[in-house]
Amino acid sequence: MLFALLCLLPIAAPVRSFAQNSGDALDQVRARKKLIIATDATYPPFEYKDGGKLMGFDVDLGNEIAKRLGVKAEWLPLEWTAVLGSLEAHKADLILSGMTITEERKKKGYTFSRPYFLSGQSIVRRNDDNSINGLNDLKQKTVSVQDETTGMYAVQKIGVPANHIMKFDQLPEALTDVRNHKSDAAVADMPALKRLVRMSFGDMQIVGGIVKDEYVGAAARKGETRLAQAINEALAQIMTDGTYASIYKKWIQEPATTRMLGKLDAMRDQGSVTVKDTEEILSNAPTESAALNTGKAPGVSIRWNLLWNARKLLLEGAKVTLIVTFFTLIFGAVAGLLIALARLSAPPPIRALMVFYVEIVRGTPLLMQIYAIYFVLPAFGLSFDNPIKAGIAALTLNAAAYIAEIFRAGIQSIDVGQMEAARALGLDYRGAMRWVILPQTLRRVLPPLTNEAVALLKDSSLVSVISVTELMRVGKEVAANTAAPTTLYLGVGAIYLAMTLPLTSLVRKLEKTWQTDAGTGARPTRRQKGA
Amino acid sequence: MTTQNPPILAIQGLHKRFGDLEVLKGIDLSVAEGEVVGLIGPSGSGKSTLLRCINHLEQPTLGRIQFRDTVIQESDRNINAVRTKIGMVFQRFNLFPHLTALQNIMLAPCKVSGVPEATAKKEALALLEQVKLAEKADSFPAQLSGGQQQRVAIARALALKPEVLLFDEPTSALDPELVGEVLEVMRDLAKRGSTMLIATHEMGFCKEAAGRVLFLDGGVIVEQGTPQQVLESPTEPRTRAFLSRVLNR
Ligand SMILES: Nc1ncnc2c1ncn2[C@@H]1O[C@H](COP(=O)(O)OP(=O)(O)OP(=O)(O)O)[C@@H](O)[C@H]1O
Ligand SMILES: [Mg+2]
Repeated sequence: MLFALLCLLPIAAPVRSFAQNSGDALDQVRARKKLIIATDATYPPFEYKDGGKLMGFDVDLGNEIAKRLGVKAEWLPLEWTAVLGSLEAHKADLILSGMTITEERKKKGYTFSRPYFLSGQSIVRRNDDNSINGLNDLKQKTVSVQDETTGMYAVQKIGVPANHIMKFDQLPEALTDVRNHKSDAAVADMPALKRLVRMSFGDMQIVGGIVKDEYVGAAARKGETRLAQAINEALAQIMTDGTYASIYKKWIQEPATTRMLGKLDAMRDQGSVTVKDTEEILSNAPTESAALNTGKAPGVSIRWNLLWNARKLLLEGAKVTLIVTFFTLIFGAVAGLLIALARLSAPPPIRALMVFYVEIVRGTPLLMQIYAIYFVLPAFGLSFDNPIKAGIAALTLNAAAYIAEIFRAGIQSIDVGQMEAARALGLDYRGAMRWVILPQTLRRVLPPLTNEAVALLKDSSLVSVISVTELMRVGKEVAANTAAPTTLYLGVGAIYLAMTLPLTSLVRKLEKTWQTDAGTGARPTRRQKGA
Repeated sequence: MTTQNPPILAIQGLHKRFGDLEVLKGIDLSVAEGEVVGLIGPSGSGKSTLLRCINHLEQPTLGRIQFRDTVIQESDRNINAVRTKIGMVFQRFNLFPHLTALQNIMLAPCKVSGVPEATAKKEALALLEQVKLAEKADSFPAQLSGGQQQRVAIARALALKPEVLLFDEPTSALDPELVGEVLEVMRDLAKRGSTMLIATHEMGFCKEAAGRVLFLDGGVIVEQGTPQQVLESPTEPRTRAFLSRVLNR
């Protein structure tokens, strides 16, 4: 019953603040001595994972900021779209994720700090495609971007039609799309592009320089000006005492120029930062792209050694996938059986509620259900201390509905004569279910249940959006770090296959035994049909 | 002879309707202890429905069914207790396919009456002996012939030592050569003095084993009496028409 209610929430409830703990964000951070920072760890060099460890420009910077606030930084790695929702859901105090300050985002309710990084959008294209040299050349082309990034907005603004904009979760995927001639160019942050081209897209080059200055800032929740102010003060220190320069050198691998620092300082009053759409700086474009493309073979081939190096992480991810799937199956089977029994024999109101629940779960995307559990429930005071649990909860809510249908179909497939014979012997309804109907149902539902397990194992990859580091997520992170999505996804796919194949062959075996069983054992059912 | 013993089962004014279809239109019937009653009638005349109303697999629409001194009612919480006293054998056997012959017989004693397993097993083996299937104790229904399955089903119905046995066309799902072994078991039960109500198309068996035969048609008992009366010199034209149809096949 609770289940059904929970599933309604995302539809019914606008997200409300649940901050019963008094004080604003800054007070809360100080009180718990922790600054919780949300980030999408697939965006090198700003934030990414290497050997399972979170690192990057933003990570060093965030740790410094926390230090200066007298607290510890706690990092919350999420998918980018989840990062954007994390403040409102009170999952995090701050976003530090290479996030560009835009008017649009300010309107959406983010309070930005002063800019801490000067970035810009650049265009990357295949070396052999001379038709693209600047933003205006893109109008008639197909352009790939990372979803919900300033790169995407920029492309939209110059009037590229929506069906010519290819949106990807990850930048390497966007570049791979260009490599495969599916799109003509990609538009994204210059630092990220530089790194990718250097590492594994030597068959491409950056053209047109920075087409638009962009200022990257830390984002706090709407109205949290005190926190933003404190962050600003910390940033001011960091940028003047040499800390900033060394972080910049370490991750961007260039010295921080005074020109850039001057620009950042000029924009320190973040309220005045706006992005001018038409601003194009083409000045040093040729030298830059020439410098970037020095001698690196195109990385089209599969890099086996990468997979080997990442094996520990990948297996760790596979373990999480198995754990999530396993517990979801156990809980989902118990809940599913109870729901099925309730649908068949509970009083009508409960029955109706169960039907309602099953229909809601089956009629909405799993991804939405996962977001609902993670982001909406906390607004009602229900929260999970750990994303794996939230992931298992969300998947269980979903699987229970499907498993309930499997059980219901299984129970209903048992010949009515079985129930009658049991009742005629004096067994009550429960006894008849327990000793006669369910044991037969169980054998019958085993194949479809195993199929459900296979589906679940694959669907469990969706909980990566709420920072569960399962196999798919590890794959994405390593792919982002190594800029080799093709290799990684091939490897990840192989691991999924290695996990699902034994299950599917089990189904086949079960189905075979059931078939020979049914040929003789299910005789009553057959006769009934014939009679 | 029916009047000597007190009735074990007394049915008065039994009506049963399924939606618009009234299948039973007022049945009065009283069965004495030790009596074997044959129930004949054309297909759809309501033989099964009558039997199923007795142990409430179907709820009677109207009427009164009394088992010894208990009136069987829908609201009766003790319907399960009454059912343990009324055994039923189905046309399609309805054995539990996931249990062996022995387990099929032991289920009710163990789970309903709480008989210790060892005792239940001993009694179940004795029942299998009685239906001449001792060697099939550990076979699953799927491994048995139709006749064997029905004999196990009879043993299962006997496991709770019921006082009345209801048979709903126990042989009509069987291949002809298997009918005999089942009738043999039933004949044996009749000899032992069991009270039985048997819906059947086996006129020969009725003649030899039943003490009374009822002819059911159109939802009422059209004619009843000894097998000789009803089967050999029926007074009702409907009975005669039915019998000539059945016997000339
Ligand atoms: N559950 C039910 N719902 C609706 N109609 C039913 C139901 N059970 C039986 N009937 C109808 O009631 C009538 C009597 O059925 P019943 O099975 O009692 O006949 P019968 O005398 O046993 O026939 P047969 O010799 O074919 O077994 C039939 O017309 C049948 O279609
Ligand atoms: Mg019938």
